[in-house]
Amino acid sequence: MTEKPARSRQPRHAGHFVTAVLVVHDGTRWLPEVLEALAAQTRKPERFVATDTESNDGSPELITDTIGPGTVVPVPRTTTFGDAVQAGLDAFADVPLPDRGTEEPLTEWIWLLHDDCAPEPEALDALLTRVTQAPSVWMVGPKVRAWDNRRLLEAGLSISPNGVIDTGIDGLEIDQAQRDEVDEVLAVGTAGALIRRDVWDRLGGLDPAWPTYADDIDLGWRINSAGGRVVVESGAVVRHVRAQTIGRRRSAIDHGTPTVTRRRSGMQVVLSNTSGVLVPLLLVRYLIGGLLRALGHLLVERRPAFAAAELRAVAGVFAHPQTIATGRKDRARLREVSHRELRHLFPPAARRWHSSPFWIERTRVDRGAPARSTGAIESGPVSEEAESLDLGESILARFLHRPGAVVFVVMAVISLIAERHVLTSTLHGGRLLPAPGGASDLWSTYTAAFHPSSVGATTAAPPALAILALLSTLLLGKVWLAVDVILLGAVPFAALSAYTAAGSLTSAARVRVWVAIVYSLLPALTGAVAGGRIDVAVVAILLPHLLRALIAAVRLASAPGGLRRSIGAGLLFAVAVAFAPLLWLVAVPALVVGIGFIEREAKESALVARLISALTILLVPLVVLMPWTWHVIAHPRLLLDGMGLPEFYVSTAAPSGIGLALLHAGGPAQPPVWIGIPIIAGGLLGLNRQSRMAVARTGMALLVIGVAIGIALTRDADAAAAVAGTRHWPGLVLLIAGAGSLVSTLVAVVGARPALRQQDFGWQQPAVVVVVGLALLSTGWLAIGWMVRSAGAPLVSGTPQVLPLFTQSELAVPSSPRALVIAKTGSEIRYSLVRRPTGPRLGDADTAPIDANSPAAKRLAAAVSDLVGGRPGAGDELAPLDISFVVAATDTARAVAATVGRADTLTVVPAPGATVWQSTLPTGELTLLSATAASQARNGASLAAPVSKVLRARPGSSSAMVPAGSAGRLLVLAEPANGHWHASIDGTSLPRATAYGWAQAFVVPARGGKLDLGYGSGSRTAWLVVELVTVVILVGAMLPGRRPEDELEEV
Amino acid sequence: MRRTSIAAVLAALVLLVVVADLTGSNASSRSIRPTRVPITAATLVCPQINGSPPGTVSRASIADLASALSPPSHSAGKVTATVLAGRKSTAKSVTVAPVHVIHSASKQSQQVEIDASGSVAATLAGDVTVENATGRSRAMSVARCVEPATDWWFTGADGRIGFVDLLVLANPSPTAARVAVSLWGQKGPHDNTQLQSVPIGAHRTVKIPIASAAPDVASVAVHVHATTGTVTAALLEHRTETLLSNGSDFIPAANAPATTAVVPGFAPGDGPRYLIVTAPGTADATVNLRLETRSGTFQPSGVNQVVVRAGHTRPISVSAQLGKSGGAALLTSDQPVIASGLSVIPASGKRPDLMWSAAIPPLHTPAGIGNGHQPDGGHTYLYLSAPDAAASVKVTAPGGRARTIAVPAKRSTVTDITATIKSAAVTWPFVVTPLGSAPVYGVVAMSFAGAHGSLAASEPLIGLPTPIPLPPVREDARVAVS
Repeated sequence: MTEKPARSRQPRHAGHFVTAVLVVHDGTRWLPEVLEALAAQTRKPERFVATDTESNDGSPELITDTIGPGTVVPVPRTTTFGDAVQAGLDAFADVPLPDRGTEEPLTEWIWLLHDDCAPEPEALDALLTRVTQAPSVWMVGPKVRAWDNRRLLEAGLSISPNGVIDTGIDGLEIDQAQRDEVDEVLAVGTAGALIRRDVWDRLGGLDPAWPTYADDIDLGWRINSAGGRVVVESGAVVRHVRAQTIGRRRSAIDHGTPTVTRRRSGMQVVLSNTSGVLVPLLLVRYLIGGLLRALGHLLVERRPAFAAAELRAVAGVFAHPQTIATGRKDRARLREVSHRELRHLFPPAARRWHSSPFWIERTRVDRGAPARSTGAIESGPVSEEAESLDLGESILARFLHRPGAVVFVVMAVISLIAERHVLTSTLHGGRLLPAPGGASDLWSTYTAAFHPSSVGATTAAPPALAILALLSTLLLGKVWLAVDVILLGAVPFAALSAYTAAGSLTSAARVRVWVAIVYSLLPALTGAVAGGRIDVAVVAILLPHLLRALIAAVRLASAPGGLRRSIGAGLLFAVAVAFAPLLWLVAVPALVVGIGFIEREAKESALVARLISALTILLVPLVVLMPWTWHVIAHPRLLLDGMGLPEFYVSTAAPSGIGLALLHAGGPAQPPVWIGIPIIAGGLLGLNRQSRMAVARTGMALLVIGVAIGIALTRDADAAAAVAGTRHWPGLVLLIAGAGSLVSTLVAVVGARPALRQQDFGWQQPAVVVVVGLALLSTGWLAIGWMVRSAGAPLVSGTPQVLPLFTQSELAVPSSPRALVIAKTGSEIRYSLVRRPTGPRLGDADTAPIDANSPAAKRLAAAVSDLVGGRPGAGDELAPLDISFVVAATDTARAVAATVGRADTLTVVPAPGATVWQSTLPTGELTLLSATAASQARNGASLAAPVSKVLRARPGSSSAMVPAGSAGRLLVLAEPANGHWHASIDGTSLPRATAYGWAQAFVVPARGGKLDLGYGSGSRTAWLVVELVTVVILVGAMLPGRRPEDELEEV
Repeated sequence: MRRTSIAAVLAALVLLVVVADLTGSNASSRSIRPTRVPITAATLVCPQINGSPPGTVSRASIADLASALSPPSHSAGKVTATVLAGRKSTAKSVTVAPVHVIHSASKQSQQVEIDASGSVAATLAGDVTVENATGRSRAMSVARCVEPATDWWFTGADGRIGFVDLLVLANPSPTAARVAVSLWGQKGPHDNTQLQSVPIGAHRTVKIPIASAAPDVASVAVHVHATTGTVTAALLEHRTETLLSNGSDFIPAANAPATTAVVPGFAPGDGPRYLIVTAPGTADATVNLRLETRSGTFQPSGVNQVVVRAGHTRPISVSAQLGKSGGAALLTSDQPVIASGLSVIPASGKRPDLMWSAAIPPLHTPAGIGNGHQPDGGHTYLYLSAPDAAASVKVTAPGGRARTIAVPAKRSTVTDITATIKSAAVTWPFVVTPLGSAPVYGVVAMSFAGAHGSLAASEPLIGLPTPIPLPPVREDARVAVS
């Protein structure tokens, strides 16, 4: 230790007496600069002492040689920083402070120094200036820069409630004085900090409970709690290596993992210092938050070591409660300021995310624009002139300079004109059922294991409903809005999608605009809009980017991030497959062919990687869409059926091959067949280019595959067995075919003009002129034709309601009756079993597809046939099906009244616009039969057995009171019998039975009681959880992780 | 290489087009045929088994005609008879082998419900014969036992003095029914608010005197429409002149209003013959009339075209035009009409009787008659008309006797079938089976010329129940949203 002799001239800041304490531990690498920096101080400390913790690299000798003998106090190697400081101070215990001859009391300060921090020459002077100006400051810290003296490391310290230390610095910052305004803080780092000696003594210095990390936070917090202030003086700059933090030096005290220690210490400091009311809440938060953070480290950042460290840190907190208890007891004695008064010193809520593993630094790369540097962020104050630079462009001009936005707006206007007749909130028609009331209805439909539609079904709901529900939730819970956006907005969104995706092939705006317009007006898409085909509309919007993602994934399969790209493409593919599972079948040959072309063109073979990529893309939908995937595999016909109501496309003659080859899908809203000629011709020209041949060939292969599948689909003249001439609509595959041809057309156009100039005049030039002319003509024809024709039937808008008002209200009564709606079409009777007052809604057709072979469906069909045929006793057949009303529009009623009227259990109820027959038999979702009637029902009779009582029940569930009665009674649920139904009375399970040959029934004991009846959905719930977890894992796997250099900057 | 690619794609497209055109299948032009299910349940109601006034003998003859069909068959099942008496109705099992007769009780008017289950339901026929040989009620009436329906049309009733016409409605079902009765007369529609909604309890009957419903209205047409449930309807006409009877018969139900109608069963011989036509719609009907007798089809002079005002009934005398020939009236109209035919069977200096017929459907399936026996020893005739092409029918009795009767095209015939259907039993059931596809219309008439006058009645030939055509059905949620 050294003590400078008193000088005749008073030192600057004479009222302050500074003892500099340098703690040394194997710091030879930096000590020379540190000592040099100390020597260069403009305001030198009055005393200097270094404490050495048994360094093995000659550090004490270096100090002795530089400063002088007696300046180093040796302490054991395991001495904490705080104890080392104290040891250094104790060396002056018998040395009184000098008398400066001033009236002002001398304030002793401790200047804490690390062996890897070098203060700038004015550092101490600036620190003392600050404390002179503000006597309330008990501790002041410098601005800390990295050793290179450029990057900013600290400008004060704080800590978030989850124990993560916040330096106030975002990422890597170059010091441009952007943080110089930071003043009062919770704490400062000990490197170069100045603290009042009396405060140090009163508070006991640094708490030995946290010897390596967070002790500085704790000290600053205690100072603030004790009524003092801790500030940062930006005029004092210290360069700091932070050797231990960044792993350049191992701690001799804590041999554990630094990450674990850091996290544990942070949480313990918070628990020890915060308000007592918050402690239990924080403990719960650490437990749950620790799990979430570990998950984030694992899935998002893909750093399992950090995940394990997080969990160990949380465990450490709970394993050492004494640390917290002791700390809180000690702090309670000295607390003068409440936690509420210090809240401004903690980071704001928004900033806490920056330390979360879920905070992904996104660097968006625009094609054609240089990638933004991910290094130092140039930020901070700039001159006013630069901030207010005026480019002189109006909003309109900026808009017109964005062709994608223009395309979207123009196509939106065209769509509005074409769809002018259906611009309302209640779209339906074709294959589209009206939207349900809200997103919650769709969510319920998706998550339910039992669907009360038609006779009842247990079909796994397609994931497309979940996607629609999610979109509806985002749109304020309005399903109709989501349907309108998708269906009515299909054309402009498809155009935008095509425009943006085409950017991967060309930057020529005019070409991209043309491709976008043509793609969005393909006959398949306009036909899909008119036909209410929401599945095709979704695929049309996704397809351009899906193709782009698939091609990129396969091309770059062997490049870094290949698996991530494949998973991402697979997820996008899964969204499309959820709506149109037929895509999966198209993708298989398309990928095989595409890989072949790409391999042929590639300089280096990466066949295995590309095959793995393709396999990943194909497998992701199968995994993510479970358990619906199993359902599709078990019912392959679903691949062809599509989403929504059964197919309505009827064509007596099979669509011609030439029409299909020219992308003419048939059905409503179709332009002339010749429209497809320029699209196909353009695609063929793409094969004539030398560049990007693989892309062009893949596109045309898509065309051929799409047309081939379209032909195969339309050959079956009885796709719907009950309706002659029904064919599978080929629109989806022709959409893909058209997209493929347009991809090849893009290849044809890119660089075409200079390429043609270079060639001798031949057939190419006139062919191009002809094709371009046809293309422009067809584009105009498509747009104008669609606007003139309008979107067209069968899509309609308007409140769909067939049931008279009184029938609607009757369907809402507690016994949950149903209405049978019949309509005569030619010689055929069509019917629908309606359970809701609002009638069938979106999702019903997908969750309760018509299965004519099910016993319940057969019984319903037989009942309808007998009723309309006038067979005696037909009215009795309706009651077991819970049919209370038969409704027919006026024209149908006129045709069937004579026969339906023969049912003597039906009475006519007058209604405007329709005829309603009401059953006089007691009907309900749940009925109680006497023992005698039960035997009749259990024998499989089709006619209704006498009902003792109708119980209150919702579709598929009931909690009614069952009256006491005789043994052998039967509870009959008007739903198909299934092993998943369960019922109990007062906790006692009821034996299952079957009534009428199809209905679920339960044998009721003589005693009555509270009934609990429902459908077991455990397996469905489990599958949904698995599905959700799978999606989360795959999304996490798809996301890019943090950059390696970020790790160095983590506190 | 590039041109090879272009050629390959073009070739592939061309090949696909060719394959498509070769494999394209046209949708089958199959018509969706309805399923037919056999009749295994039937309900018949026999009206007015009347034991009143004294001296009236009426009986309902329920016959199982399976053995008389061509080819003969065997039926099985259960048949019950229930006198409709509301809550007191009790079903009694009856044995129909091949006929079961229900006799009237003295001073009681009964309607009996016959229920059949099993294959016998398809071969069961019944009719009611009511006869009073003397006094003011001297007459003979015959009516078919019919199945319940939602609509019944009659025309020819009368509400004037001297006409005791009674509309009998029966509800054989276990639930209540409700009907609306509409009336039209020579002077137009007749409103009666009490008849707009008439309740008929389960297993009950309602009798509506026409004189009360349409007092002093001549040529009344009646439409019974069941708004709830199904009912049977019978309309019995009895004409009197002070203390003397001028005949009685059940007016058979006519076809629903149509633009064409055939009314067979005009009896040969003396006496007035009337055709009663009603236009129940809102537009006047121009009716073109032709008569068909054994000598051919002709337009009756003076009445070949008549106008029936909307909502009116018009009786048309065809006595002179028919001469003494039996025959049928053929109507075509520009508006839907209903029609009935009346033959007054006179007996010189003695009391006449009535024989009513109505516009009926052609006979395409065997028609069953429960009892063709004229109880006084008279004759049973078959009046047949074949307005389009030549037709023939076969009359078969359960004992095996049969006779084929040919009807020349555009002719009407009258054939005495007494010998064919005669048996030792009290009742003579038989079946009339049309042969070939040409439409033939027919009426069974029974007549007796006694010391006190004629006793005559007729009932139309209506085919036995055929397998029920069940329409093809298909579930389609679209019907519930549009």
